[in-house]
Amino acid sequence: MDNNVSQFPQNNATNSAALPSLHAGLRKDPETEGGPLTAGLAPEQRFEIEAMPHLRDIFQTATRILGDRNRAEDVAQEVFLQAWKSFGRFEPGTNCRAWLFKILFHCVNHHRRKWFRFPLLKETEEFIEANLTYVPPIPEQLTDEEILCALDRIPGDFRAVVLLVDVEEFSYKDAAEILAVPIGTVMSRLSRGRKLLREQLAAVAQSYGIGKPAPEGMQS
Amino acid sequence: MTQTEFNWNCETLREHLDLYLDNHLPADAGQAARSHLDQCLDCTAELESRRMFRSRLRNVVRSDDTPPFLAARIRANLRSAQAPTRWQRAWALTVATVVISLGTAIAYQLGALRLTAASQESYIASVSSRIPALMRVGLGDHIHCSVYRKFPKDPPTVEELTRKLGPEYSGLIHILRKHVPSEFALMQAHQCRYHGRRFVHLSLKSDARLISLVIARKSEGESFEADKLIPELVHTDIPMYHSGIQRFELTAFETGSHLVYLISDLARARNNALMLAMAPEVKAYLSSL
Repeated sequence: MDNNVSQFPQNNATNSAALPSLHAGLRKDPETEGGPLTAGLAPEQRFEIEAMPHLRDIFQTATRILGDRNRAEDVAQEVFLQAWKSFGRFEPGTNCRAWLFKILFHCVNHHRRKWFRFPLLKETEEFIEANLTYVPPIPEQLTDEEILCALDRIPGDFRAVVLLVDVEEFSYKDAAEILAVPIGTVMSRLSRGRKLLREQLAAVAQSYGIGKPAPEGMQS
Repeated sequence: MTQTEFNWNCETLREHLDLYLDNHLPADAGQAARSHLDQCLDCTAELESRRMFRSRLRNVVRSDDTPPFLAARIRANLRSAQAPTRWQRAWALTVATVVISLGTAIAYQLGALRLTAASQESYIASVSSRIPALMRVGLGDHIHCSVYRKFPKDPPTVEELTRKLGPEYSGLIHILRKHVPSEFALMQAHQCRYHGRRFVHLSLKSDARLISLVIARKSEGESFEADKLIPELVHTDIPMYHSGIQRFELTAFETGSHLVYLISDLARARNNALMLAMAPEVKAYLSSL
């Protein structure tokens, strides 16, 4: 496998059609989640089977969190290197994908202190609390780029939860575990992150004259 | 909860629509949401819109391909940082333990890990500040001279100790040996100076315990009695004073010119008993000087 990229397993798990439930982080697919089928294999083979298929998910989430593909590449490499170094502590059959995401956010938190000056979440939350009472509808006539731009504009902590739950389809519990925050925090950030995203998209649509004003009785 | 509590209008339902989509509404609330959706085309359309948007968002984020050689680079990194096997980890742990133990022992032998003079002083001050001032005199010397001292493995001979202590006080060795249990070896007998004050100090040590007989010359006006300390015991007309702090027990008495302390980490009663037993002889010896 050393020099043959084509041996890298195709990550079918990232195909939305292959995701049977919202609790993707808990799925126990023996082909990707290890367990008895990989228990007797060498660590290199187990890592290849259990961890490497999630590279694409890790890279995509890192890109959206960091807003930069080059940095996302660096972080993805770091995630897999750290995962490999501590792979001996990983129990076969447990949720390797959630474990990798936990490492990802650990690395991201480490780097973003260096790379970014994120606004304090408390201030952001207060801002959103004061401004997000109306939930705008989601316009349909939007390009992929506009959706990604809107996603990138919401504060990092909210974006992380939206990515984990709505895109990567982790349960609230797994997202809380990955981000090392209480489940209530995940729920609150998710609710606010989704509202903020809808607001961003509604603003884009309105700038094109395709958004609709808030219906009567829905505006606070 | 009854269903009437969840008789939601469009606004309330939409506030909870994402939770409904996540299947995170309580059963009753979920049922009420379904009832509303069955009758409301606008809310059903909004539900479908949000469902579609999530799917769209998922597809948009996931449409971003990984760079072509990222997986190859990661595999190359992994090869150069082989994960340790369980056996290797156990071996590494053993080696690390041995190295740390050896390093600690060597550092200790070289004095690197012993407390610095400043930290010794800080410790002595923090301990002795909670006992009467005249008791501090003896405790400070005991901690400085016995507790922080690394004694040799084999105790010195009586001749060596006698020579170090000097002829004036050498008779104290005999008195101590007579009263202190035999499991305590006399490790030190010397005259020392601590905080500008001269002491006669004899230390005995067993496997786990330390005893000091500390004798200081009185300065002018110094007296347990003058400090209004209340003697706890009176034996053969010798008033005995006691203090205890942390593991240290102090029993003390005074002669006309000396303050005499027995300090140990023995139990309080045992420390007192030992001092009571030897006090008459020590007092007589010091009075004869």
